[in-house]
Order: sequence, then structure tokens, then C-alpha cells
Amino acid sequence: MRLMVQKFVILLVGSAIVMPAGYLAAAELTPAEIIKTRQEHLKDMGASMKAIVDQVKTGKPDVSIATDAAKKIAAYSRELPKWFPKGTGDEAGIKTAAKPEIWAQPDDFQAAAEKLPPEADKLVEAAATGDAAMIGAQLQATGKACQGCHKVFRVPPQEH
Amino acid sequence: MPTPDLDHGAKHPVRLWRVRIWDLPTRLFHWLVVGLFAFSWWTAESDRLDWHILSGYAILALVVFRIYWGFVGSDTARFTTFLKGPRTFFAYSRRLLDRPVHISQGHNPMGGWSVIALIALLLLQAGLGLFAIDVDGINAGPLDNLVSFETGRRAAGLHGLVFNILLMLTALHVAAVLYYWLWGRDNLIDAMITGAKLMPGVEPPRATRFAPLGRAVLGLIAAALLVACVVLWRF
Repeated sequence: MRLMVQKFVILLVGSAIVMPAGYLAAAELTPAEIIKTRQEHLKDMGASMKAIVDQVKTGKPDVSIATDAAKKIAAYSRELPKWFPKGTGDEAGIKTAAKPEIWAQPDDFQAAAEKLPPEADKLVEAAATGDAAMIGAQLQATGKACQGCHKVFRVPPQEH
Repeated sequence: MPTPDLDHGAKHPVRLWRVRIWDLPTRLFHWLVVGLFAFSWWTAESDRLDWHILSGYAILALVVFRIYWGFVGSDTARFTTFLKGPRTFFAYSRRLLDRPVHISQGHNPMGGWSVIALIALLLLQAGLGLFAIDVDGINAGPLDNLVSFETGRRAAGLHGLVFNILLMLTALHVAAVLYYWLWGRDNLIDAMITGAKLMPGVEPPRATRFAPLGRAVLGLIAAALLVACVVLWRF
């Protein structure tokens, strides 16, 4: 009986150690998964930009649609620098437009990426006004922040 | 206008006759599209998307006009004149390497199909551009708001593909023109600039029937208005 209790305690303590370790190991994403996730996020950011552009084009932007999309961009923009851990470039073996410069000049990359959140915040403010001209102007400014980083750290998209 | 007698006094001397074959609207269309196509290429490569889009509008208006002119324009500009059936097409293709080359008073039976292919692809290309969007969701064609981001991206992808096809077809077009010039001694470029060419024949060739210029001006205005409506209208 005592032996059984001992065994049970050992099992309990053992699993208390092993199980979280296993869980953490499972939570660790592979480089391919990280690339795929960041591509989805970036695509979502592009689609959100488009959603706001579409609203501007109507001449009477829908405040809630534009604000939601701008908030999404602002939230993503703060996460963005974390989407590029070491090992998620070409060496990961799947197609990515992320250039090696991201890891060769991490400070420059960080600085370029940090230009986006303030512009995105202003985009949220502009969206709240519902003023097509103001939103349009801030879209341009936000787009410049996107492209400022893309010009240096992204392989140009092949569409023309 | 008769030129020097080639058969030195034979009973039916073959002469060269200078005939006007291309009207002004067709020639202007041709060279404006050449210029705008190059401009569109350059503005796309150098990320001047606002100019690229304007250039696309101009090409679209010109192509719409050219299609109209294909129905109501001068003889040599009309689709019914230069689009020949397969029999004529293949008969002509068998004589393509003959020397002297067959001198056509307008598009030849193979060239006509190349022209219609170029016009159709330019129309498709400009149409795709209306719905295209860049990967960042910032630069977009004027009708992009009618489609989703995915569809806009697909349109941009096809816009790139059709451009490459257009480039190949343009290369073929230029190669054919050079072939007629160098092998056939038939300078098609000169004719597309001046509108006239020398046709060999015993009898003077039949004169081209030219459509009035006013009809072209009206068509061009209508085409420009149509494009303006499409791109400016808030759908």
C-alpha cells in the first residue's frame, strides 16, 4: 500500500514536470509555421489597407469599418518586429520575401518597423473622423511607412 | 502616281504606284500605343504607379476607339477587311518565304490576326489593371473596390502574365516587320508613318476608301468619355 502511494506520488510529481515541458515543446513553432503565420498577418494588413481605401473611394467612408481596419493595422504593427526571429529567412527552406538584411542589420530593421505604429495610430484617429480627404492623406502616410521598410527588407513582388 | 516603267516598254508594263493605305487615326493609334506601352512598362518598373494608371486609361480609351474604328473606319482599318478565314491564312503562310514577297495593300492575312490579338490583349490588360491591387493594399486600379483583396491580387498577377504575353507578341510583330523590310524589301514602317506605300502592278491599284476624319474625332471623344465614366464613377 505504502509502495503504491509512493509510486503514485512519483508519477504525479514526474508528470507535473514532464507535462508542461512537453506542452511548451509543442508550442514552439517551426520556422515554416512562423513564416506562414507572418505572411497571413501581413496579407491581413494589406487587406485592411484596402478596406480603408475602399471606404475612401465611396466618398462617404463608413467610420466603423474604417476604424476597425485601422485598429487592426495598429495592433499588428506593434507585433510586427517579433515576426522575424532568426532562422526564418531563406534558410527555412520555404518561399519568403524576407531579405537577409533583416538579420544582418537588425537595428535598421527595428527602426524601419517602428515607423509604422505612430502612423497607424494616426490612421485610427483619421478613420474616426469619417473625413475622406483626411483618411486618404493618412493612408498615404501609412503606406509610406509600409513601403519604407519593404523597399529595403523585402524582395520586390513579381507582378510586372 | 505612276513611277518609272519597270518592263521597258512591254505591252503591260508593271509599274509602282504610290497609294495611300493607312488613314491618320489608324497611324496615330498605332504610334500612341507604342509610346504609351513603353511608358506603362517604365512606370511599372520604376514604381510610378499614378502615372502608370493614367497611361492605362489612355491606352484603354485608344483601344476602345480602335475597336469602333474597326467597324466604321477606313477600308484598311476595318476588321471585315483584314480578318481572313483559315484558308486564306494558310495559303498565305505557305507563300511567306517567297521572293519577292506578296505586297499587301493593308494588313496581310497573317498580320491581321496578329493585330486583332494585340488589340484584344491590350483591352484585357487595361481591364485587369482596373481591378488590380499591389501586395500592400495601397496602389489599386479604380474599380478595385468592387472586388476582394484576393481577387485584386489575382488581377495583378494576371496583369503581369498578360504583360509578358504582350511583350512576346510585340517581339513577333516587330520581327515580322523587319522580315518584310530586310527580306521582302517592303518597308511597312514607312507606310505606317506616312500612310502611303508603293504597290507594284500593271493597273493602278484600287484606291483605299477613307472614312471622314470627323467620324474618328467623334469616336475618340466618345471612347474617352466612356473610360472617364468607368474610372471616375463611384460604384
